[in-house]
Amino acid sequence: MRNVSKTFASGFLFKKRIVAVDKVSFGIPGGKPIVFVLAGESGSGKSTIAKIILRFIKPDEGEIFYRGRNILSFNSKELFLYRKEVQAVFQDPYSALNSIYPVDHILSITAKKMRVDQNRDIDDVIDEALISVGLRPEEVRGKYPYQLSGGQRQRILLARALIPRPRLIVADEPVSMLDASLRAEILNLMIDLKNKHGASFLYITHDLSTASYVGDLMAILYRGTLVEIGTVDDIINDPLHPYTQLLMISIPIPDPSKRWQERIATPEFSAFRGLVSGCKFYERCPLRREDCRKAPPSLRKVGGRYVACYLY
Amino acid sequence: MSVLLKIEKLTVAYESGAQRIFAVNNVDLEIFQGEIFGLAGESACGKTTLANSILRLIKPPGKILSGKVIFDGVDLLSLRDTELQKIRWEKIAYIPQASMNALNPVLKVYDQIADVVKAHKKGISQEELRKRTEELFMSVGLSPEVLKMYPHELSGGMRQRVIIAMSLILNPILLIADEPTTALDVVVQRGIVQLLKEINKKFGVTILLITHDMAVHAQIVDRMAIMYAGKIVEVGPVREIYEKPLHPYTQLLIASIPRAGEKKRLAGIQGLPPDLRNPPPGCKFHPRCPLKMKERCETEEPLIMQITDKRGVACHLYNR
Amino acid sequence: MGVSDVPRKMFSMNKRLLGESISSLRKNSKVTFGALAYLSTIFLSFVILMTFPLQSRLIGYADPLLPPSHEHPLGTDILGREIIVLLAESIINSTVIGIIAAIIGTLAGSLIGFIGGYYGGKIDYILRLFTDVFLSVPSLLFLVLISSLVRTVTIVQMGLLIALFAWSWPARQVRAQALSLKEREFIYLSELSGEGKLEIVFREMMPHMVPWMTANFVNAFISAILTEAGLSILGLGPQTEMTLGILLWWPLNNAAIYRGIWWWWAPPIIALICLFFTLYIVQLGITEIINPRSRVI
Repeated sequence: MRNVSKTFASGFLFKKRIVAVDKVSFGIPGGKPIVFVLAGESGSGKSTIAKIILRFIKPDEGEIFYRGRNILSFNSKELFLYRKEVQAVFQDPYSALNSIYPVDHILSITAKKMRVDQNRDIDDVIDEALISVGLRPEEVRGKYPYQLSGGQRQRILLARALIPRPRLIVADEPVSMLDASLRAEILNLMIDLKNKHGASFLYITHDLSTASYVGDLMAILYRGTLVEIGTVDDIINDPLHPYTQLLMISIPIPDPSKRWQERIATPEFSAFRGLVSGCKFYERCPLRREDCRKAPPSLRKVGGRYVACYLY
Repeated sequence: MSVLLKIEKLTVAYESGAQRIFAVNNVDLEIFQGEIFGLAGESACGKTTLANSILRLIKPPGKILSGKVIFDGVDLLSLRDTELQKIRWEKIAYIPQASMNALNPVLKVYDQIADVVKAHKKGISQEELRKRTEELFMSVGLSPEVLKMYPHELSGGMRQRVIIAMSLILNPILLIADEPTTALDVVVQRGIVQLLKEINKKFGVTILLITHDMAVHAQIVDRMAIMYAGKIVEVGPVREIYEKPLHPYTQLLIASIPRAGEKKRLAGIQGLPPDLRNPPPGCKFHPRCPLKMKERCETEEPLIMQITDKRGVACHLYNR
Repeated sequence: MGVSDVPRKMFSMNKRLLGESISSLRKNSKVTFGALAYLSTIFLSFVILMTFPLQSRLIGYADPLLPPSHEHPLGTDILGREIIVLLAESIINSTVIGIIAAIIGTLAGSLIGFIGGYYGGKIDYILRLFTDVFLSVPSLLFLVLISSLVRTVTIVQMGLLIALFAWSWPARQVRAQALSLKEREFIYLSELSGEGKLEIVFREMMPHMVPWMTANFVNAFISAILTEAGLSILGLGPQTEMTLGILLWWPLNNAAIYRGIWWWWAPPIIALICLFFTLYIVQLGITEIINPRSRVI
């Protein structure tokens, strides 16, 4: 009895003298709740995409469809309903909470405005949400952000995101500021919430290890362009795009018996990025050819996925 | 292998008002000449404080309460400031956390390095300085062109290489690097990690690498120590620690690292790190330890025991 | 969830915050000391005004230029007026001018700064230009110019005049605050939680700005009192009333220093210095509170 929720983004070009997102198209399928990973290094545009989906930034080109409707054309009422269904958790649990109020503040506001069942008592809604993220209400209610640990704060942000019973939670690097032992817990929590609450996640990260742990589908971004989309297992086990391959071999494996043997060349390029014709990965690609410079490759179907590379 | 740096019973505390927090609590550590030594642990375990105290960089409200830091036969903590100045940068170089963001934005890269050198070796000639800098830059993978640029024109990875070059310019024996790869992308991180390994092999520089990233430790360090709540809980060769972690905290820590391609359910560590203002009695890890033995762990603080000649653990499980 | 809801909710939320802020102000020793010192001076002034006969401030009440004595605690001025009474009156009047200038300057400046910072774009550009002009212009000279064109000024008018230049610094500060607050993650989160724009401004952003606005207020207050003194010494002040500056104008224009009539020129100067210092201490205290607060433990 699940409604098909589909978020489909197509074709943005976002120019601020630096192209942050370049004609990106991808879709998160509805039906079964999944974790869709948007992976890329810093500067790849993934946070920009998150903000666009959350309607904090307007793209210069393109549309985003949520369940078939273009979110850019929403009026304020429709936007409010959209926000109920698409929530978010951010990277920094320290700055995401207003330091002058206890944590109940943002929970109450969300509950008051967005709780699904308007007849329920607000405190009940809050307590329920806290319990579902593994927090004991009596331990955190009334406390100020600085009195809680990073892990607790992040859980509170997750609890807040769950209150409106969203269909999609955009999680932008939710664990990168947490310690290793905490990461596992929060990631497990995400998987549990996906299964129990039926919420899909758009998990944005640069860490492919965590991506492979929680992800079902994955899209790899490189400097604003999608280079590979497919299932997480496919991509991790058999990366097709040269950039994906580079990423995979760069992940440090926590096993001293499996150390990096060869030295890979990592030519650095400066931070300045002008407009480039042709494939953006040309400079660093070990498999590049002359025609790669002429025009950027489009996404083409290779087996069960899409790769943007002339090799295929 | 000879011991290059020996830390003995070091205790560093932060005092605010009536409260005293022991950031580093009676720590013993040995680093051998020529090795890469890793210091691991999660946030607030004391590893940065430990690094800072080696070169006596602790400022109030922090205070080094007791202990010795013996480098090349001399206790650094007992030296006068002028003598310590000669050791800093010339013998022991330190790269603090996020130092790549601490480059002076209004000076060109070359000028900043020149400043450092001139502060320590006043008599050096312009030519020699230039030559040395260019050679050093090439060996850290930077083109000499970078010398003429400003920090903001460089990417994160390049800035980190500049910092590493700056730290090596006076040919130190020991390099202490605190979280050198944390803010970097994974590809760039690999480059820096590789670079550190090369420096160790090519120039024979002993490296003390401090990071919470266990995977990075696994990739390059020879021996490592794990800290928790200001104490060292386990120390030994990296391979042995990963293959057979002894301390429950180490076991849980290694089990919580996600590996690409593996879907096995990861275990976190239940509970929270201890509030150092009010630490638990006995072993600081006991509230979260799945293997704790009621009486002893709650009352008695375990000391580091040498299990083999290479391995040490601070846990009652190995201390019957 | 209408706009009418906002004032009520804002009130209840902010009442608690208000209570907390007041208690943190009270706990700070500098703030309490400075504030109490200043308020006691005012109180003392009122007491003096009430104990001495009404006529003592009128011309010809007593013999002119009498040195301090039992009967005339601070002596009399050239017109035979009781100096201590004039002093009390001027302290109160200067305070009034300071308050008017500070309130208007801080409120107007904060509003302008906030609107610019929050909305950005063209509005910000114009407002910023406006602010920068007022900021860079030598305010004292302009005030001299304006007040010399106006024949007589009342206390209130004086306050308004000074406010004309007092608003630019708060505007700049509040603008910077608004800019940085706008981008904070908790603001984004508030929007995601369904808070309307107005609610976000008053409930989430305002409490962060109030400490700075308070500091600005005290700053403007001090500056206003000194500016008024400066203008009045030049003879451009509210001549009909008595302010600290006017009180100084009289002795200066009658060569009191040269003539050794110290009880005429010393009291207003000492009073000015004292008022300045008490307010300065309050300002130090407020700065102390702001800094550790914004760096949450």
